[in-house]
Parts: sequence; structure tokens; C-alpha cells
Amino acid sequence: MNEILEVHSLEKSYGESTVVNEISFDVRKGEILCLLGPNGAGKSTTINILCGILGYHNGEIMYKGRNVKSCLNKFKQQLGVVPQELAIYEYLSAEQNVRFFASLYGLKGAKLKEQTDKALEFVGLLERKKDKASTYSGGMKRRLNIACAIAHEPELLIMDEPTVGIDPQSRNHILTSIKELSKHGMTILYTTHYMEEVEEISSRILIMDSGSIIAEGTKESLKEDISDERQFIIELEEDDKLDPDSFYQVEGVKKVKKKENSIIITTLKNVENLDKLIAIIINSKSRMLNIFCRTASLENVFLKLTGKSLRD
Amino acid sequence: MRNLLIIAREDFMNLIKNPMWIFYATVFPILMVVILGFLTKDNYGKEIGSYDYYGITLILYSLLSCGMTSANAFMEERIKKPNMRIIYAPGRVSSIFFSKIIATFVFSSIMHLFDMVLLCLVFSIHLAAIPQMILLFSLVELFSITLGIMLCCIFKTEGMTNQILSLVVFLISIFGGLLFSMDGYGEVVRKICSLSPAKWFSNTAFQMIYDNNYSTLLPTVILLTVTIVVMIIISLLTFRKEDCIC
Repeated sequence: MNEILEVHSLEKSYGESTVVNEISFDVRKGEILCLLGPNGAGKSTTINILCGILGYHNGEIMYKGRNVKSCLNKFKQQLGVVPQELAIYEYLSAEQNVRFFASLYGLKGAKLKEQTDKALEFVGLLERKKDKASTYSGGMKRRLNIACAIAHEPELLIMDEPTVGIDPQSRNHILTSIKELSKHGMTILYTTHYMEEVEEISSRILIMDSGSIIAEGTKESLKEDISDERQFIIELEEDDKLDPDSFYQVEGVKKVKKKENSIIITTLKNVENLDKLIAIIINSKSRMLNIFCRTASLENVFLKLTGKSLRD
Repeated sequence: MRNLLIIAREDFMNLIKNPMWIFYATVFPILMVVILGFLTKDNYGKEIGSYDYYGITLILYSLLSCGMTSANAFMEERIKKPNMRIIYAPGRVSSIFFSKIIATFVFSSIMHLFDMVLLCLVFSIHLAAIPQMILLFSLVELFSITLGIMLCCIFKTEGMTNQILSLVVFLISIFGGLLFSMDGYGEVVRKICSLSPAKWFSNTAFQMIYDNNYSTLLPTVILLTVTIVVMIIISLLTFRKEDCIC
């Protein structure tokens, strides 16, 4: 069986308002599944339901083919959670924090010590394990937050925006660590607002909005499916007199924009017209310095699906 | 059960490392006994001196204030966030507040035992019926701790709980004569004061110590036990895991 977790028609409401609206998805062994969505999309509610902290009204969550409700403790034993908030005791050292939380998963004695050191080494805090968490920087606390969740070596790790408000070095360390965990077979469900993180680590992406899943797939397939456009950026010599409007005669061209010594041509993806565009440049005796093609970014896909209006 | 003890041990360590709570449970009641005992020493007779009176009543006052310690151990900001991880871990959700009850009870018991020993040795406070007194004091302490936890479960915040608790404890202590005797203010005041649980606790204690009279101990123990059980049930019914989401 490839699916570790299956969510079927999950629904959660607060009074009249439905915050999670019959969503279904699965989490496959060893993958990094990124959950994307604007504020209020229902991501955190979904995560909190999966972590067992929130109840739900309808639907079913299956862990390895069994309803989670019937094997809750077994499921929790295999679950690691990195909440968005720093869930650590500031007055304890990193080692004491990890030891305490790992011991709640049944670890004890030499195994507890070994796993504590392993988790702290993994997040790069072993050398400062005796220091109180209150003396740590924001990035170090975030890493400790992760160490507390992985010391018991869970099969499924749920991470809710673990890189919020930290420096690029710590973020890079965390993202590298996540990829490393995935290589070692850990399955990761990851929520974030940062598109570049999703580009970097995701195996698959779920996009949520207004409590529903509105798109699902790999980053490549989402870009392919959602956007029907691509852009050619043609760099010309300075003071080139090529008329941008001359490109509109080519089939598929939707928009042409001149920016300094470059011309940006937006064209339909399914129309093969590059040779015709180049022919116009050659015929006008312009000298082309560079040309490259840009497809839609994940951010474009996200904005196209969820809209550009501000969310509260 | 294992997780309950692990969490309780951590909560206990949190309390014992907190100088404010140590001060509040040890220095504060002793200081109050010393000050009020000294100021009112001429108002009391030879059989029950002012230190004898306040040695019992102010320890009772301190025991009744333990609810604030348990509320702090349960929902203080720096505790509340790590509580989330306890919810994520395997085991019963109720462990989270049972551990606070156990930890606060052990902590407060040690502190108040120290207070009593010190008051007996240094101020020669008269104490008798020690096993019965320990039983009474322990139940009063547990009553207050459980009250703090129950209010946290109902109101979801430490701040609100402490506001209510401090007012309730202050009122029942005043009417119970824990801070000064209300017996001289007439029949009506005396009747109102007899409604205060603090009055029942102090009467039971003084009757046991000075009159060798244990008749009110059993009803007091039953009343406290039933109240504690009821408050635990209310806590179980009102505590919601989502309250731990920060």
C-alpha cells in the first residue's frame, strides 16, 4: 500500500460556516506533500484535524487502511507535528525539551538519549544542547521545534509553516533537513505561504481555498494544466528600432511589451510560433543578443486559482 | 499512566524552579503569620495565642490560594504552547490537567509542610491531631487546586481564572475569619460568616486541636471529597483539546 493517510469527504463547520468542505486527498509514503492556500483557506483546520486536536463533523481519516478513530494511539505514535507556534519550554535546555517530548512516545533509557542527540544533531543544535531555549535565536528555536517532533522517528511528519519569520540560513537548513528526512523515508505534509519553498521541496501540491481543494498535482503538472500561456523574452541591442506591434501578426501572440532593450511576448502555449517571431526580428535587421522562454511560475498558478483579491 | 507521571514531573519541576511560587507558598504565609500575629498578640488569650490562631488560619488561606498556582501551571502562556505537543502525543487528553493537579498538589504540600514545621519550631504554634490535620489540609489544598483547574477549563484563560479565584478566595477568607475574626460583629454577621467554607475548615481545625472534637471532620471530608469529584467531572466535560491551540 502506497498511501499512508487517506482523507475522505472531510467536513468541519463552525455554526453556519463550513471551514473544511468535503475534502478528499491522500498522503503517499515517502513524499513531501505541500498544502497551499491563502489565509482562511482551511489549511490549519485541516492540519489540526489530522493531528487529532480538532474534531470533525463528517468524513473519514484512514491510516494505513484503518480508520484513525479505531487506532488513534497507534496513529499518534507514528505522527510527528511541527506546529506553527513554537511549542517548546523556553526555560528548559534543548536537550531537556527533546527528551521530555520524546519520552511521551515511549522512548526511555539509552534509546531516549541516542534519539535525543540524533534529533539535535540533525537540526544542528547538538553543540548547544545544554543551553536554555530562551537563549536561542528565532531560527534556532524553530529548529528545536522540529527536533522535538522528529526524535521519536515518526512515519508521518506534519509541518505547519515551520519557516515563518526566520533568517535565510535557518530556512535553508530547515529545507535541506526536510529533503533529507524525505530521503530517509519519512512522509511529510507541509503547509507554507512561500512559493519558492514549495518549488524546492514538494513532490506533490494541494491547493486549498474556501475550505475546498481546488487543485492537486506536481508542480510541473499544475503549471502545465493551469496556465495556457508562455512568455518569450528577446534581448536586443541598445537603441534597436524594432516595432513591438509587428509581432501581433503572428498567430497565438496575445501581448507584447517593450522593456528597456528587451521585448516580452506573451503567447498561447499550444501554438508553435517561435520560428515566426524570430523571422520578424531577422527581417527587420535587428540584432538579437539573447532569447529565453518563461512558463508560468507557481505563484502565477496560485494567484490564478485563488484570485488576487486580499484575504483577511 | 506513564505519560501522566512524566508530564506531572515536568510540571512539578516547572513550579519548583519558579521563585515567585516558592515565595508565595512559603515566605508569604509565614510573613503574614508573623506580622498579624505580632500586631494582634494582645487581643488573644493564653490558651490560643495570636500566632496559634494565624498559624492555622493563614495556612488555610494559603491553601485556598493554591488554585492560582494550578491555573498558572495549566494555562500560563509559556506552558500553554507546549501543551499542544502533549495533545499530539499518544495517551489520554485528560492527562494534561490531571498532571497539573498532581504536580501542584505535591509542590504545595511540600511548601506548606515546610511552613507548618517552621511555624511550630520557631513560633511554637500549638498543633494536635496531626494525621487528621494533614487530611483536612490536604483536602482543602486539593479542593482549591481542582477549583483552579476547573475554572481554567471553563474560562480557557489563566487571567480570567485568577481574577475570579482571587476574589472568591478573598471573600470566603474574610467571611471565614481567616484574616481577622468576625465573631464580634453581631449575630447577623456571624450567620453570614457561617456560610463561608473557610469558616467550616477553620472551625474543624480548631475543634480538633483544642477540644479534641472530631465530629465535624467527617462531614467536612465528605463535602470536600464530593466537591473535588464534581469539579473533576466538570473539568472533564468542559476541557476541549482545541483550547490548547495557540
